[in-house]
Amino acid sequence: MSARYVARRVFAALLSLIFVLTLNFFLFRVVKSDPVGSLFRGRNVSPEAKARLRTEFGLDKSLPAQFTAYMGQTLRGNLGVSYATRRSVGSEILDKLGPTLVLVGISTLLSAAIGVLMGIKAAWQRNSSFDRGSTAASMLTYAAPDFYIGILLLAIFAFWLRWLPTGGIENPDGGGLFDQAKHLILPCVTLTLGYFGEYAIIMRSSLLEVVNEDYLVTARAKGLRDALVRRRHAVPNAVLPVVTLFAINLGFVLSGSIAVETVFSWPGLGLATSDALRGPDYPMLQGLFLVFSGAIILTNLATDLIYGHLDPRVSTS
Amino acid sequence: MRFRRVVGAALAVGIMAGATIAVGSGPAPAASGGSSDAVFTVGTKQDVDSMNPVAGVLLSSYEVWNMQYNVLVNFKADDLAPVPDIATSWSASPDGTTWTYKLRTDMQWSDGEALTADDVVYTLTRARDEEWANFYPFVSGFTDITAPDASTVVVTSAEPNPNLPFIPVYILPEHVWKKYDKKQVASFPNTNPVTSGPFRLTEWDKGSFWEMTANPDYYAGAPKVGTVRFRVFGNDEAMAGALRNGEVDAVHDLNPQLESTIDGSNVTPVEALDGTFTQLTMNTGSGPVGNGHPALEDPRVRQAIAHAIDKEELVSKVLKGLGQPGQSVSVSVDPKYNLTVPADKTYNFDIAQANSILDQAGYAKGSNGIRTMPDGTDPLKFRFYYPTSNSVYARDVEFISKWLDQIGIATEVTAKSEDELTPIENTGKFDLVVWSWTPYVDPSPQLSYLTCGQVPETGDDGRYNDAFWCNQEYDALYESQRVELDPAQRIAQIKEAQQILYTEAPYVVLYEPVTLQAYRNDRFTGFVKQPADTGPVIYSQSDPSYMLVEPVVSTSGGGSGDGASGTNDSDDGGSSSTGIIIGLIVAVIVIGGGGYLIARRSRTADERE
Amino acid sequence: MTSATVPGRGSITWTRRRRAAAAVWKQYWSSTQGRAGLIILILFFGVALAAPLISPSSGLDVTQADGPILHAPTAGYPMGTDEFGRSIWTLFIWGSRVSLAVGIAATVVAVGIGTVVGVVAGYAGGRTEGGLMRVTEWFLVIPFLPLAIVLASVLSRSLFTIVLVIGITSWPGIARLLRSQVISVKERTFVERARALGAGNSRIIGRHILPSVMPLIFANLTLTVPIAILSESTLAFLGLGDPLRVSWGQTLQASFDAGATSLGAWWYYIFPGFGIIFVVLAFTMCGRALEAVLNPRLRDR
Repeated sequence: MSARYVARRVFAALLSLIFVLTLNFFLFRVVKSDPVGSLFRGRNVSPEAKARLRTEFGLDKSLPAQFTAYMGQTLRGNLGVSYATRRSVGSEILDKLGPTLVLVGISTLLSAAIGVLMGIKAAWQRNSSFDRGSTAASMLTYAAPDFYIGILLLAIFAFWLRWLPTGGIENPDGGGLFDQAKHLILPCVTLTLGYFGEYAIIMRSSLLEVVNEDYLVTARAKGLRDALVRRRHAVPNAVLPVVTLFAINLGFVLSGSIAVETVFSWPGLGLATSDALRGPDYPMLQGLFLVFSGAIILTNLATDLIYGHLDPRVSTS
Repeated sequence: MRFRRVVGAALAVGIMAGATIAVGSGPAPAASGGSSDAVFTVGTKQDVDSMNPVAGVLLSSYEVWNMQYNVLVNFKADDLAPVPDIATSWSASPDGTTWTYKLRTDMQWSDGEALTADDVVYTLTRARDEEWANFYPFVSGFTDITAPDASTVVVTSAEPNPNLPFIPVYILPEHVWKKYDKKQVASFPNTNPVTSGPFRLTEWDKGSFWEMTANPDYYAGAPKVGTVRFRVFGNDEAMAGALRNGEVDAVHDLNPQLESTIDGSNVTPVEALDGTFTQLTMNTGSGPVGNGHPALEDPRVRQAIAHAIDKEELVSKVLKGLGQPGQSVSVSVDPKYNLTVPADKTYNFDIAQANSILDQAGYAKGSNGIRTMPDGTDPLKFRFYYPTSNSVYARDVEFISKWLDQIGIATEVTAKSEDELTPIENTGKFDLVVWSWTPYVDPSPQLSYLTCGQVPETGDDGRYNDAFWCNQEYDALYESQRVELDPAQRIAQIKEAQQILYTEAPYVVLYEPVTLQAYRNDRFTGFVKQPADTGPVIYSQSDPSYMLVEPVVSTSGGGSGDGASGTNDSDDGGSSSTGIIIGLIVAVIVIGGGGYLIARRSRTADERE
Repeated sequence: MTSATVPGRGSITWTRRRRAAAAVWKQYWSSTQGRAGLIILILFFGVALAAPLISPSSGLDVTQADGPILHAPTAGYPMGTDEFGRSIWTLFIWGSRVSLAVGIAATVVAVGIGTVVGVVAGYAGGRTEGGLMRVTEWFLVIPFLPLAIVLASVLSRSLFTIVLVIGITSWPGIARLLRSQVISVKERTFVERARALGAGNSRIIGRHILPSVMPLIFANLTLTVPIAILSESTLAFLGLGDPLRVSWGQTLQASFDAGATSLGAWWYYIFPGFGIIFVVLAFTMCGRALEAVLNPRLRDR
């Protein structure tokens, strides 16, 4: 992998980041709003006091000046202060990163594992009842909005059968690890159900594509057993599209659970997003948007570099 | 004593970039013993925004301050009458402009310093001079604040102020606050506070809970519970569940939809009214700014609209019965100030009558069923806004716009965030708005918002007359009640002003919603509604309940339940993140192992074939 | 070659294309998936178009609602009622209109932008291509839902906003796909020949490039509509939809707000949710069948 390739990818990522930052700033300036006025609604506060607060928020400066201030602050890691909780947006987001990473991390791994295994089996036993069943299941769960799967599971397992908690990350009085695991089940199953279909479908069609290629025919002709052919030759060659899908999804995982976290009150970035909508808490939304986009830019960059490392053709082309 | 914002989330007074508020309180001087081991646990959905009374704005913050600070004169539990707190007695000069307060001499701050008249003068003066937004309205009129001796405070205003003796300002310790100048004071976290009240903040895990420990040496006697703990819930379902399970003993602001899920003989629901009202505001067009529809300048059109709104229906369908139909503008938390409109002057829901008023006034229907101005120009098509802060507004607007359809008035409905709606209102670029107000105890501020002097002139002058309505008769009544020292006279004038508001209808008050609270009557007793009958038991004006609640002494059950809610204090942020990490590792192992097993199984199956 | 032969050639082209279309249709119809998807879609579109005949819109008016409050299905209210006493059946029927309309309108916006960007970039090449593809790449790194949320929260809450938001967040993939297709088409002999004959750029794009990428555009349309419908339901569920226009997503949000899950009012969320699932499934099935026809390599899958 040439240094030039790396430099080009990093430069492209930086450009994307600047684009996101610019978009982030101007999107929120589209709104004509008066946070100071709405704060003091119904209170006897002099115009001078309001003007003072506007100065503190930097709302009195010209647009270019605000923009430079915003860029400077963001690059120094200062994402501003949340209107709703009045803590720095950065520490708000850090607090919520953990729960989201756990939820989305586990369900991404689970869905990829289940999807890939199902896809392999379905492709190998094409047109079997397993194949038809798994394709139907994949398409059905793909067709359901993820939050809707959540609502159904919530209604069945939490409210009707009362097996599992209705939401949150733990009982208010802290029930320990087991309690947290119980709270994790429903949102995690929801996301897993929402994601696995895609993996299954892609794995299946990718495997079907390689199955009939010459070297596999050769391998079989050599008398290798089916399972061995599958494991040694077919799967490794078919798995690339799935890895690519996984890499792409990895960037999107942070923002992937917004609606599901809302259904289950899972205190992560997703719930923070839908909470921030209510205010709306613009500094918080701005910070979340930056983090979500940044995650994608970073994973894209990492994927590019890894592919470049693995496959010299990519980095020289 | 509290100013209530209808919506929880808000900007801070004086947030500065980078000024984060520390989480947790650090080591606290041990509150020795405590009067009782009992822990009373409250469930709420709102965390404290700041422990600093100069900076916080949320109701939960006021709850903390109510419990750990004192005021000169407090509100009585049942009727909000003045009762002694720091001041034991008070008297006014005959013209009502000078008030003298005699103070207790036995009060101490939690760090052992004495609470004196100097603290009182210091706090009131600073609140006035630095315009501390939470308190400024109550002290802005004082021309002079002095302490002739250590146990006397004298305040002077230019004109009589019937709201005195109340000065709802928390008295803060001078020796602490003087360390923070005007610039620094708003960012002072105050998480390890020096307090004078019956409780003191001892722990705050932001976003999760905070804990108040009883002051055993409180001047009025120690509270009956040793600790009050507030748990912050992310949603209503979880909070209702916690009440059912006995994890919390009382809850505040539960979604009324869930009232049936907490039903039971051991749960007492409290449907509390606090004067908050939701109104349809009409832009009546006076003042130099704005472009309200000319039809709304005509009181007959506004009255027809009042006839076209079924307030009972809104209460039963939108509020699910948890509220009462609106009368006139409710000007105070205290029901004695609020007018009940006489039956013969009430605008009953009557679409036919509304239509005939408009017909007679000359607003004829066009071919499309929409009325026009009497001269045939300008169809009656109104820009109708509502804030997105509460989904109830959307429902209100849905109903109202359908009723208006039935009287030939079209609407163009737009939802806006409160921050966006504020400049739209202030510049008069709307015709109709649905929004809410929450009044103070003192009726003057709410009454003042609809005076001519409050009609915005620039859109940025901080005036509150969002109906752009100006009525000389109303203004005269407002002015006279503002200085009327005879309580009965004052109430009469206020009610007369409210009647004018109702008749002229710049606002149509839709309803007053209740706030749903509930407590476990099998675990705690001694709850006090403030004011009596209609008020809340917690999150009230002066929160008398916390002093008085005590565990139910029972032969069964209660004790073990107390253990569940009381003694578990090892759980904080640390354990939960450790749990998450362990959970992640376990899950990865499970997934990996499971995947391997599945793969193996199918492999062996294949190999057997 | 005389000029007289040119129209002749054109009509031959069209005949050929018509025949090809007929063959595509035949193949499409032979796929069970494609048939089932199409039939479900026709059913739903029929119901949506006939909504005023099936159930008058006054049934949406909260002030006219006369049913029991939050009641399970009965003969008079086949899908039960909501918390205002409106029939869920009426909400379902009228909601299908908004959901389908938003899905299709947003798709048209997305495919429109994607087509213009993709075709121009692929055809023009060079610096134009570089610039357009850079912008596309930027939009690709923006997480769809957060951008949609931000846009919907800063713009006013209306169906138009939702269409716009979904439209401008869904085009980059389509643009990329079309660009590579256009690049391969543009090298083909018939395009080269047209250029040699002196055809202008717009003529080449209009007469040669677009028709040959049309099947791809069409397949993308059918695959983007379900995504748009899902997006609309998610945005509505997060409270960003037009609160006064009933859609399936909005009904789901209303049911969740009204506590239907904890109150056991299953009818309130089952029907609109399954409406979404069926329509999305039907579109996906159509899209897959179409794809299989257009891309023979995928056949027999």
